Amino acid sequence: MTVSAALAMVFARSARSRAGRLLLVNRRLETEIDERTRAVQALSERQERLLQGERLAAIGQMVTGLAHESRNALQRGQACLEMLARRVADVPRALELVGRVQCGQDDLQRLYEEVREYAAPLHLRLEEHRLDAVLERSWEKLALRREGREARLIQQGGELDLRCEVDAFLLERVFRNVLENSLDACADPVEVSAEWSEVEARSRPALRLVVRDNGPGVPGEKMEKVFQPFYTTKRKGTGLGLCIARRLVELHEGAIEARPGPGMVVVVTLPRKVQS
Amino acid sequence: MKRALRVAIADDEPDMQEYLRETLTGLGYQVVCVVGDGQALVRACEAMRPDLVVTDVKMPGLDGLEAAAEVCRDGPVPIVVVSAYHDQEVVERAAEQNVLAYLVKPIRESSLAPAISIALRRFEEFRALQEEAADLRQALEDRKVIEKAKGILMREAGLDEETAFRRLQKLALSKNRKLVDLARMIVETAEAFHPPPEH
Repeated sequence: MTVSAALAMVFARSARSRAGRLLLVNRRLETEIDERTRAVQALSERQERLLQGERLAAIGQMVTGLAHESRNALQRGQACLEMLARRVADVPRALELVGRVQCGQDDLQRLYEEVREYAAPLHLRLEEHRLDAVLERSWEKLALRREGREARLIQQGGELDLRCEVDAFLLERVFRNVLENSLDACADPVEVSAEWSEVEARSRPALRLVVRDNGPGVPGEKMEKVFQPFYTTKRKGTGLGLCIARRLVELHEGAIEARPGPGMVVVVTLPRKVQS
Repeated sequence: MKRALRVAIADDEPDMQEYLRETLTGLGYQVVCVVGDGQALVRACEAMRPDLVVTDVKMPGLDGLEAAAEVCRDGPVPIVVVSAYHDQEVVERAAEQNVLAYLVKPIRESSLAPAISIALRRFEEFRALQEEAADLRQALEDRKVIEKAKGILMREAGLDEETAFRRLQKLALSKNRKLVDLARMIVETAEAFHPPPEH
């Protein structure tokens, strides 16, 4: 071998090994860049979510304030409406119109109250309660809505240990919204069955309630929609009932969903203890 | 006919002032003043001594609850609050005052009328109970004085308890005085003869 050949070989080897090293470094760089890109993306997503969260919180505050402030305006409207009704008490045609304005006023008031309820910041006041008793109370509070109607609520599973750490006031609201829907959707005689069971949800002991009515139910593709704000099938609904219910259940770290019928089937799952 | 109850109204909205005046008058109350802020409410109540106050909370200057506290300083007056706010803090402040009903705006006649009549009824009961308690306290005080006088008679005149009490009764009757007044006289007289040791 000549000197030049030997040198060429050495160069070639070192070049190969350098090329190899370069390749390696290059590959590592690429992965690092990938990781970085992903990290940046994750960061910007998180930022976006944070911003979104802040925006939502701000909107929530705004809406709460708006609903609050609107009470004074609604009150003035109400006051003038009642005074107007007295002034035109002997003019049936005018009185009839006043009645219609009153209906509009009532709808507006209810809408504001429900929006406020949906957006207002909430704090749980947790205490141990028997959930069948909470459900029963919600049903009783609908007595006025059931007046003159044939409706019954049948609870099953009352022999189970139904104690659960909840904010009974808020949970009553959840149940009431679900039951109210059944009362509105079903023709007499209304039958609502409520079945309790003990389950495990997200590897925590939980209680499950399946509420089923004998109404027309909701078609499959609409099933998730019923929890969206302002979605309603009722002529006079605000479309916030189930939406509020979901918010309150999720505040309890539970879940609420609609299931295929017959009838409307709503499943509420609540952990026995709220963690945070 | 029963005298119409006299009502003071406070709200800073002119619409509400007119509405409350008209509605309460229609319900048979006599509206004695309608004002738009807390200070004016306090002044009006001092002058008019109403039987009932219907007030808003949020008003310029002194708010409705501060005014209510001021109004009740010289003796309790039933307060009905009508407010657009029902934050816990405000409700708790109301609970500390003489507030007998708390209505959240918007209200209507059909919710105002029963709230006021129930508030008035509760206030009457409250007052009756207060009077009863005062009467009972007085009766207890009287009883103590009579017992003391009886003890003095027993000691000074060597009487037994029954005779001492009967003598007291007879004396009161003949002197045309209330038993407790006579007893007080005896106690005071006895103190003149045997002054209590000074501390």
